[in-house]
Amino acid sequence: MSLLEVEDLKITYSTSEVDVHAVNGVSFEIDDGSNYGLVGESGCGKSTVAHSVLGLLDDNGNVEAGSIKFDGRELLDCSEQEWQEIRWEEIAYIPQSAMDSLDPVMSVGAQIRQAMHKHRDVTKAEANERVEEVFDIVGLDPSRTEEYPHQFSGGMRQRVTIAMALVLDPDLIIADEPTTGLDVIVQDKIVHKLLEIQEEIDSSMLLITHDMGVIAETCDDVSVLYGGKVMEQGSTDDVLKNPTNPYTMGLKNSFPDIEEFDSQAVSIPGSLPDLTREPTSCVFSNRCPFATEECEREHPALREVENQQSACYHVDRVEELREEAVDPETWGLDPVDQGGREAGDVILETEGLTKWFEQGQSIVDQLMGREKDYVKAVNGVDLTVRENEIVGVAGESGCGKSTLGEVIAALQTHTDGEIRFRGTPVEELLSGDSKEFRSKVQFIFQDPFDSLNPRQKVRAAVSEPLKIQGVEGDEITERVRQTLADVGLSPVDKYIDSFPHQLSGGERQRVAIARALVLDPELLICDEPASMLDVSLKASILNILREMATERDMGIVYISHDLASLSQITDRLAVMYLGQVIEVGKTREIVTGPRHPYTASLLAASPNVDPAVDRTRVLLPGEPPNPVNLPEGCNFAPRCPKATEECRESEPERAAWVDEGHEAACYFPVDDVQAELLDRYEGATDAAGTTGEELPQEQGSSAP
Amino acid sequence: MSTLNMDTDTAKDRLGDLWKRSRRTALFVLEDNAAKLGVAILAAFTFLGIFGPELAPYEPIEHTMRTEDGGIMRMSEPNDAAPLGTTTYGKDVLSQFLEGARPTFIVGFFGGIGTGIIGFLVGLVSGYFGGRVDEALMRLTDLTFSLPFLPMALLVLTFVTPSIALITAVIVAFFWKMPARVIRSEVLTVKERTFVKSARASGAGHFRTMFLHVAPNVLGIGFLYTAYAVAWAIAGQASLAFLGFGDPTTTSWGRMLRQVFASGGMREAWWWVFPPAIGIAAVTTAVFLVGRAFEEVVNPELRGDE
Repeated sequence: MSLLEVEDLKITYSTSEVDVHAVNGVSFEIDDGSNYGLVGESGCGKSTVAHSVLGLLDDNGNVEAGSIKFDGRELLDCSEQEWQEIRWEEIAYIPQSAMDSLDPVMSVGAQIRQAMHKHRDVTKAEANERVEEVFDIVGLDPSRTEEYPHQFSGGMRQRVTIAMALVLDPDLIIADEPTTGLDVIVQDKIVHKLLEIQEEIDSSMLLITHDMGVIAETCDDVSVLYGGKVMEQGSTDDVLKNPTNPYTMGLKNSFPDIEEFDSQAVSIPGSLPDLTREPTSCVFSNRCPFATEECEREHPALREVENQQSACYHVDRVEELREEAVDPETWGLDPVDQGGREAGDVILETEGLTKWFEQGQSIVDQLMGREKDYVKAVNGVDLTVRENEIVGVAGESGCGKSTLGEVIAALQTHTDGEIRFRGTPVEELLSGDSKEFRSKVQFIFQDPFDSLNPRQKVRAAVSEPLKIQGVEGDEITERVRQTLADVGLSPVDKYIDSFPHQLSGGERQRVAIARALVLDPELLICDEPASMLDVSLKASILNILREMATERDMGIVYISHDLASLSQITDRLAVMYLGQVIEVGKTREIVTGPRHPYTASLLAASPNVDPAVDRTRVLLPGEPPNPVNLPEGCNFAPRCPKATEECRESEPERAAWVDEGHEAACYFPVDDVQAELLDRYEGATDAAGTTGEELPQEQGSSAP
Repeated sequence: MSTLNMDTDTAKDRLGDLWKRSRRTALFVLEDNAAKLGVAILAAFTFLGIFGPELAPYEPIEHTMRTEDGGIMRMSEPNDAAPLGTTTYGKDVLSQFLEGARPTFIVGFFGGIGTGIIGFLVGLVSGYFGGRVDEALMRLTDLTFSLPFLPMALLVLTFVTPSIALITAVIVAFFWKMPARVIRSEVLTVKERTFVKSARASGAGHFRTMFLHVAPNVLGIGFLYTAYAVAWAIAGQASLAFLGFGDPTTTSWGRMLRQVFASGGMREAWWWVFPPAIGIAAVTTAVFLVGRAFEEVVNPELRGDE
């Protein structure tokens, strides 16, 4: 018998105006000891399903129909009392944002003990023992149980929430996006830990995520959700390797593979279906390139295809669809020639660029004349950007990449070093009329939901930069319309008089791009422009940027932590670690032959969408050191398996290793990633036992 | 400043937008029954403020009511000739009440708006620029916070002859600190939002960023505090008048209370006490009723599931 059976679940949220049909008949089963994945983009109802299994739906959410059976027992009939007994004892939950889900005024040990006291009659000593045990399981130092959440870094906090979920030996663990928001290396370690634990305690897991890569690496079975419906269901290997539903195909193909430079990711056009009434046609029909009249009739039932089930009318021509779905043109994307760009003159050059943030100091310290602490966010960066070139800046959160972007755009002052724009120092350009400089350097921000003034219509937002530059009335309208059309917001009339809240995330980001492009800038700085968008929209944003770079002879600085999109879009790549560029060169060369151990680890940690590929996990020990007290010598040395005395004593030059344009700041560049790094990492963690990170454990989060 | 020549298009667009928004807001506010009552009271008060003196049956200070036998009608209960009775000097209470609405209205309206505008601007500038500007302006609010209103106002008014304009000015000078503090904290959060940075990145000057990007997003709170300031101003003016520091040449509700107190008839002459007392209480309560409903617009989290 299955552990959890969800049958024909229907959930609506009632709002003051309309009811939103979030889940429209979802069924799946989880077997004992297996991992089940629910994958889908935002708004597909995956979190709603998870919350209903826990009995934690929001007050306005109603289960309209269906049943949820756990171990043969109907959960929907439970009273609040019964729910409380089931939660944690039998079904535990790992929430999405570990940063927020721990109580900041309670030590982590106390928070875990609390859950135990609620359900079991244990003494404090027994509880403590158990807490130390689970800390050990998740790879945290058991002596740190009495510390407070802020003393742990993001990845470690996520481990604490996992430990908390494990403490009562639940039969089922529900993990809601457990790795979203974590850096790839940390993500890799968490995924590794989850799987290890799984084997050890033999519970089942329901994993909810939008990341196909994580699903591919962790789950046995998977359901792909869209618009509150199951689109495809089956074993992970079958579904991800040979998708039979057009939506799964689109989703899979929108995850680019890092090393495939020539294949272009697809993006699914259009936006989510209107869920204010029950779907009357196939929920995906309005975005599906293969939709026919048949699809308009009603949502297709799941039917057997190959080894899995798919909700599609066209299951008989799966092979054909699969072949076509790989081609971006099928999804309405124009193929962009990637290779044909020739970099031109140098637009921007930085030399030894440094940005230190002063840390707050108490008044006593100030009076005593103690030296101030500085957060060394950017520490001597040399970067060159040419015309018609996309330069990527990669790195984990807290490495200073966003600060670098803002300093280059003169949105923040710099502490030291020089920025030259077309050969002229930026100070000089800003000293008189800064307008001209502002018209040439534009910035695109990460968060499309916040980067447009909510009180400004699209027309006003895009025409504002022109007005500031003093362009005349008619020309403004013309250029605004032209730019909106260029970024793919057509028909223009449909969008030009909308407010930001009437647009979807992807559309807003296009407006933000239009706002930046309307002045025909020479340099465009993009800070994670696609990271807050659903995967299926990412590719189209990348495409626009690439097209614009080619058409307008711009230089683009593309800042991101997502190596897959960086490898797709950029010509040259600079990898940052703790405020310094540690490796720079042609993207292709770096991705295929990374030299710096950190770059190599970063690249190896990206999850693979193909479930058949067996990848060695990157168990890079430790956390990045605190940017206030940087270690002597190479910043990466404390975590590097190849580090020697030399590395710890003197800092390698950026060009310690050079091969034509490819530079790495390392005395001992990597040749064989597998033998020199990955195997050694594993050795390091094994040797250190389960306490794991014997290497410098930074207190608290290292992000400034 | 080159950014001063704000384009008329944007301004027109903004105004149209503002008008639409205020209509929506008004409709939302009026869904609340208490707010409806409040609006009705305020409408009546505005009407009295404008037309009150014309409606008054007698001249409130010059005219003395006389009984049928020709004697002065002193401290008379309400009767046919004087529907709200008379004062110790035989003046008509109804006329005084109607006449007294105007100064109350003027001080309330201009005092409130003045407080709102000055507070809004100070808060906006202080929050937007931060640093030394913020430090200076906020220490100034600290100063006004530490000075008690009545004693200080009395001190000022002892040296000069009070007039309506002067009283309004004193009230504005003492109450601007409240909206300033609140607006500043609001601005501090808004200015960290990405679109403000984005405006700076596209070359907008401080003036433009402050008024076109930051200000519209804190305007709601500004209006709310302006409304509250109206209530404070009315209460403040009434207190000053009650203590005898009102404009001696005009009748106001506060002055009526002052006179009834001075005459020693406060306990008996209910017909003389109630009209101004109820008037002041009703208007201030009405402002808060409307303000409370309006606050739900500004801060949607207050919307309970009633």
